[in-house]
Amino acid sequence: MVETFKDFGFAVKTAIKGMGITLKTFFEKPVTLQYPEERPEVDSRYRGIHFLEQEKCISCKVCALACPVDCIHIESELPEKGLYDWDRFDIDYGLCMFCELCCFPCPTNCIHMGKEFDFSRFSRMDLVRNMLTWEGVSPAQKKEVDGIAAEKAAKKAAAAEAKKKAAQDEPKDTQDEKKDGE
Amino acid sequence: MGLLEHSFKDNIVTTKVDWLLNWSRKSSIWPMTFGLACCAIEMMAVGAPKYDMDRFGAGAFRATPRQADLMIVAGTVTFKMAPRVKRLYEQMPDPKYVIAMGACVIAGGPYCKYGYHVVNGVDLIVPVDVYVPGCPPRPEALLEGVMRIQDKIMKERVITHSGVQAS
Amino acid sequence: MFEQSIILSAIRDAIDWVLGLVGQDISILPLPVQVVLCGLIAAGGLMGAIAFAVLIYVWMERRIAGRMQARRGPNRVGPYGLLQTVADTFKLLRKEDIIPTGANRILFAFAPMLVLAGVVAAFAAIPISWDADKGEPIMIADIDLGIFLITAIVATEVIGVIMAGWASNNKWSLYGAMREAAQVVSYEIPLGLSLLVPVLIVGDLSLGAATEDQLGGNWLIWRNPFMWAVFFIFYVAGLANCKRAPFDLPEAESELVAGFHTEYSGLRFSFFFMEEYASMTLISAIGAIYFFGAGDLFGLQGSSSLIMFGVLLFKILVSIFVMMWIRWTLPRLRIDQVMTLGYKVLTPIAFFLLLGVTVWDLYDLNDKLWELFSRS
Ligand code: SF4
Ligand code: SF4
Ligand code: SF4
Repeated sequence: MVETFKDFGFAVKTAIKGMGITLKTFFEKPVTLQYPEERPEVDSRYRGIHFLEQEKCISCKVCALACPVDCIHIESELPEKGLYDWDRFDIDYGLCMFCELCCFPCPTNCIHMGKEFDFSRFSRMDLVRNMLTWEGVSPAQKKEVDGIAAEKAAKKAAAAEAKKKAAQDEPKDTQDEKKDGE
Repeated sequence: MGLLEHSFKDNIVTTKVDWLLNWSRKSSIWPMTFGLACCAIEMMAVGAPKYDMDRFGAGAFRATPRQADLMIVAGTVTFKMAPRVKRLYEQMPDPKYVIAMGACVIAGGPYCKYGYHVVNGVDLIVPVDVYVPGCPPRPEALLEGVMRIQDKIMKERVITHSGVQAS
Repeated sequence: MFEQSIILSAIRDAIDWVLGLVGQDISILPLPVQVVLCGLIAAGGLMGAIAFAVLIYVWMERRIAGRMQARRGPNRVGPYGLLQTVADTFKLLRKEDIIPTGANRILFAFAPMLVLAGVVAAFAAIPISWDADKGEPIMIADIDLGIFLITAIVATEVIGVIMAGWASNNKWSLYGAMREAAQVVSYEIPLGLSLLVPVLIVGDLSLGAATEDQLGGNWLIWRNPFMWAVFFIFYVAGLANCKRAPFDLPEAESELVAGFHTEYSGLRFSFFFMEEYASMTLISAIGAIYFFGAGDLFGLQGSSSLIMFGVLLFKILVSIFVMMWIRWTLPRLRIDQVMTLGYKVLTPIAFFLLLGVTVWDLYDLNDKLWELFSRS
């Protein structure tokens, strides 16, 4: 009996203490972040949706190999002179677990974890995000590529010209050679 | 409501009634209290002070499926758990919505490749309305998922018919 | 019949006026029809008032819960989230109505109504104000056995809950219902004993008499030193009676899914929801009337019955705020702790207090002590 009343007294005491705490909180300012209007400051090392520096990427597919769930899909052709003809660089965010394992082995350090985190979609197919910021080549590189192509074409033309010329010149040359030989 | 559903042509009254019903549904999405794995911790954080799902009217977590509108599947759905998840879904009264939260629920996530015990996507067993990627998603990402559900609800038709007459 | 109730006679006058428009008179209706008609109108008004109050309470509860937890609570549905409960209501109306296959359909459908009806009916005996001209309380039915009737009618709620638990054909529901039965029945003892004390002092079972007795700041809570303890017991037992936290064992989510209303969805569930808030209001109203002077504000309110009604409402709201404050602070008790508290603590204390108050009143110790102090 005495025990019970002691317990009861203790319960009342602690309950009053707890109610004091909640009453104090009641008059304090709420800590809520009003999400769609106020966006949170994410940590500098936060692992969100990736971003790819495509101009640096050499399409070596090491990231795809490193990914433990195989959610990076890269298809590209290896052209000449370090420029890549991209068919596909997709990451399936339905699978990705934001582990950053794809970022460490990249030889050119061009894939990073970004700061974006809200990526809800109505269908699973929409979760596959195309990481290519530009199709194949960037405007800056476009010029370069065009230049290279032009150069190539010029070279080809020059080579063809030279060949033609050579073909035309051949008899003469042989004559000369013969002459020389003589 | 069963009789009246989809049985009216579009006009100013019926579309307003539709709007009202959709608005009420959108403004009080009561989620069900259940979590399967680590994502559930983040789901609890959504109800906590910093993120506060109650601002959207979606903070009344109901313990019983009979009173819930939204099933947030948060966490790895193992083969053992899958029938229970399905049963919970079936116990919920219409209209009901499902959010697939986290990589595990969307497609098996970390377990999709070698896990012998994980359903590769909860959409194999229940229809999913919104997918929220992440492992786990940030609480804000889940809030965004709830907002997508609200967008989806607002596009629904309740008493007006959708062009095709229901037979 | 109509002499006993200001509200009912007002309704009769209104009907008389309406019939007067078509050149008739209320006397064309036989008396039983008059009584039933007026009663139905009063009941409808009461029901509407309670439904409106519940809308406000739920909004209050969610905002208060938010602030107590340092968050904001609903604030996107209408200004300050005021339309939140309206949206909830429309949504609940729209929800599919499920009756489980194994359920007893009749009892299942009947239980929520019985639960709500008991509590709403009890409001008929609550005086909402005081008519100074006539010297009568304003209430639907000024019954001599007021508080006795209220405790009796409210007890039928337990039957409804047990019906709900049994008819659902669900283990959790049945457990919840049994807990409710055990808890409510055992807490009715301290509740009844603590209500006996003000009845003893007022000397009348009617709540209208209590209102009259306390006019002019002569509140029962000041009458003798035991009253605060009596009020404490009344409040704790009342909390347990309306299944509010920390006594919400019948619907403990952590053990019993949702207790006796596990299988209820949509509109039927909202009846249980309304019942909880209605019984909170009832307990608060009885507390305000029996301990804190009903609509009286130390005589400052003058003779206006509207202001008295406002004062009573304010007291009820304060009491409900405290209930919400308790709910969002204290953790739920264990069932054995609930039973221990009821039988081993509250009941003996209530008996002791009843005895104390009786002795105090018998020997008129108030006056004697006053003499003692004034002499020295
Ligand atoms: S973060 Fe991890 S799971 Fe996601 S793509 Fe990179 S390696 Fe794969
Ligand atoms: S590892 Fe880096 S360079 Fe190689 S394909 Fe991936 S992103 Fe590109
Ligand atoms: S997605 Fe990640 S955080 Fe969520 S349940 Fe799966 S492993 Fe856990």
